[in-house]
Amino acid sequence: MNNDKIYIQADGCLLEQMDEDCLLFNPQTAATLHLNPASALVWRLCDGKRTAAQLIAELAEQFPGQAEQIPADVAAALEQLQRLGVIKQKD
Amino acid sequence: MDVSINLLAQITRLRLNDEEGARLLEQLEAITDWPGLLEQIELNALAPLLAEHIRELNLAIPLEALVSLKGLQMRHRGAADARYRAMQELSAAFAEHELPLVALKGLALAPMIYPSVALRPMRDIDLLVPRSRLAEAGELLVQLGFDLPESQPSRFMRSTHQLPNAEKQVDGFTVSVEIHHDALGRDVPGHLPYEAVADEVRTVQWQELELQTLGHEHQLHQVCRHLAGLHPGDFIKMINMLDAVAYAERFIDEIDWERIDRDYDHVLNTLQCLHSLVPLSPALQSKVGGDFAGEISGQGEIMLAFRRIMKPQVSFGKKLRLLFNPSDWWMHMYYNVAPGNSLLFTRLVRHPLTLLKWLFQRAFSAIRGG
Repeated sequence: MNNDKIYIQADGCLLEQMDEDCLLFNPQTAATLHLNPASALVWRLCDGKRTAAQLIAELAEQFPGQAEQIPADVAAALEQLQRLGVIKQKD
Repeated sequence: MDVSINLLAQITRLRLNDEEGARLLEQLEAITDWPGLLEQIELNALAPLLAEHIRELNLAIPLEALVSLKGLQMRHRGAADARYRAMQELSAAFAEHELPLVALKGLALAPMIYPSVALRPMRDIDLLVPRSRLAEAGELLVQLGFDLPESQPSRFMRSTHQLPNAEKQVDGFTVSVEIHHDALGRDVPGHLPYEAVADEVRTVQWQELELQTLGHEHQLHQVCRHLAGLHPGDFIKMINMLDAVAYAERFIDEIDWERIDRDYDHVLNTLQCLHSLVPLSPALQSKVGGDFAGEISGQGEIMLAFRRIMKPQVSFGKKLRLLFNPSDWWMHMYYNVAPGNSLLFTRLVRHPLTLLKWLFQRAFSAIRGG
């Protein structure tokens, strides 16, 4: 993963809390994704301004106990969210 | 899965009383095929209402079903927001051109009778404009970025009561607009053009948006005629039945029931026919009158649209049956025959004549347009 890339949420996606997890609805595909809290957090942070590196740094600051694991988790989440069409790379 | 009409009907309530809640809870707890149920629920535009009932009943359903249902709920909420934004733009543009428009069906009913607009899913935004300004309305839609096909998808649909569906993407959702010059389709008796309703329009408030809609009696007339008309699917959506009953309940004291009885008595008959599926309150029953004791056979089953009946894969025998023998329930509604009265004359004379009329209308339309 290139940490300089910036990710942005796909148009119209809706996120809703469901107990501890989240549901993400993508109107482009009419699909509903059941996201774990970590993936939901990553999706929320994909605001079209932060680079992947900034996103990792921010999460590491919020969760210092898991700092080592965060880069791999973020990379996996970004790949999954991009594959599902709910985020895209900003040009 | 064969989801019973009774189960769908029990979900078709704006609010559940204790008895209805207990009955619905019992039925939902026995569901094993949730995907099958949800498919039927969505086809009947009931997903947001079911989600709301499940929340109120505190019912635990399988996680996969809950995710699907919540997804549908979110989709309808998102679609309602997109429609709102599209209507803001459209309403402002029409006002600027002094082009009057009247909101029909779901667009008007959702803010008036549903606790939240997102509880009333709809496929299209339906608007009525003066016939003389139909083309101008279409041009305005195009200027607003809508894709408006030049003609109807089928030549048998030419000269219908509306422009082809115009579509536009708004925030990832497809917003579809139908501009009508007649609030009633050609398959039901009577006409309801803009000129006939303009003097009685009412204002409906949808958040910041003020829309004009039909007066009470015209509204009930339109909603009930639409219900009994031919539908593109194989059934009437349950939400359309709820529209009629909930509207009558909501405005029971404002509706001129004498006028309904005099000019639009089919409304009373339709409400009687709906009672076995979406029960009328005792107060509404007394306004509507008639016999509410018996159940009409074939409830919820409608006459299929011509193009579905005429599909090559439908056998000749079945075609005849579908054409000439629709359900009692639909016959009572469409031909305005009170539930207790015989359908014999209607089946033998009126219905075959109506079929002939529909056939000529379509042939004429195809010859003229195609």
